[in-house]
Amino acid sequence: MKPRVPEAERLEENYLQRLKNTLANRDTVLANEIMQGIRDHIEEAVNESLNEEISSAQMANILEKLGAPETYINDYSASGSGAQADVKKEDPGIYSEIFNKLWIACFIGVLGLYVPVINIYFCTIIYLVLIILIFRTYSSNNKERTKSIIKLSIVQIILLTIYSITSILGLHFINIFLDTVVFVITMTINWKIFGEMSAALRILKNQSGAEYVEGARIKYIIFSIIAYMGFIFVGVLLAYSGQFYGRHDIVKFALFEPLITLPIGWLIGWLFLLRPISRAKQSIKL
Amino acid sequence: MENSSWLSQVKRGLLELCILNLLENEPMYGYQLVKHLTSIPGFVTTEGTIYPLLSRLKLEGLVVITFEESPYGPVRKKYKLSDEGKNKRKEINHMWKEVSNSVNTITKLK
Repeated sequence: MKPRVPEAERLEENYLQRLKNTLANRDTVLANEIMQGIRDHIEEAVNESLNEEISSAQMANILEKLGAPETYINDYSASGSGAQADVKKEDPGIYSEIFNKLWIACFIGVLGLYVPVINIYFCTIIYLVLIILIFRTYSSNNKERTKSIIKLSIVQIILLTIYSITSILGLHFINIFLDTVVFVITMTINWKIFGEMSAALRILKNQSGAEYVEGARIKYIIFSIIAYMGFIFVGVLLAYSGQFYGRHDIVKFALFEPLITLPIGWLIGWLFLLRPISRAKQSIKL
Repeated sequence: MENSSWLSQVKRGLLELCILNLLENEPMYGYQLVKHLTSIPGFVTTEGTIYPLLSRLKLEGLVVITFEESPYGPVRKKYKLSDEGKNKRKEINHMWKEVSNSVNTITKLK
């Protein structure tokens, strides 16, 4: 970073503060992007100078070329698609409806944890289809994240279909591997969904709500991993102990396993997924 | 509507088209892109105008960022078109061609 004379530093700070003030009521992600772009621009312009130190006149020239932040930011807001999208995105009703739909989708997903219907994870597939439908219609402020949720859900549906086929064929060795992959993808999808909820609350200037969701998503991941590892540990322990059933008695194990995993899965799903979504929805002031 | 207001609205709309076309040729730094656009006389009046638009294109997934080492210090962000951006560029170019042809036909009639 090239040094500036104190007056040039002051000019730069004032300019960035004006920009920050102008961006205060905008979408946080977009505001951060613009802020970073302008910072990088100033740095590039400063580096282009042949002088060892940037004078106040040089800095004033760089900032003058950039233009008044109030003008170019408001100009952008006045432009067709951008302005309309921002107004639409600040409508709490839209987010309330999305959170409602997410809750229903996740409820079906949690309800159907480890409950195969005709060897197909019916509820989980319904949950994934609903997630795809929700995020196809919801225009996120971070399209990359929204797209990745859709892509991951499609991959998950394919994996669950393969899982069901391998279950029917009795290829349990493959399923041990698939089970872990499915678990990791589910965690990733829900992690990103929490990210979308947090971003939505930030757009609505609901800082405390966004922070709550951020905290909830970390808890969700931690407790889900602990539970998953616990299931594996208990499963392996029981399978090899031979106290409850024989070493190779897969059928008994398959019947016994849901009795432990279901209540714990439901409890974790309720406490760390459904309840945070419900609370996040309640925090939206209509 | 005042002439200046009409012109600035037209320019804003066209700026997206220009950015997408410039990035189709080669990935660029924000600064580099600004310099290209401001070198066209009368098109971009202030350099800052480009950043809100560039940021929006990024959030819409039309442009993506790659990072490159800089001789001056911190890594620099290079903007390049995503696949979606490439499709959008084609669509907008097509629309622009149709609109400009229609407008040319009307203005020639006069």
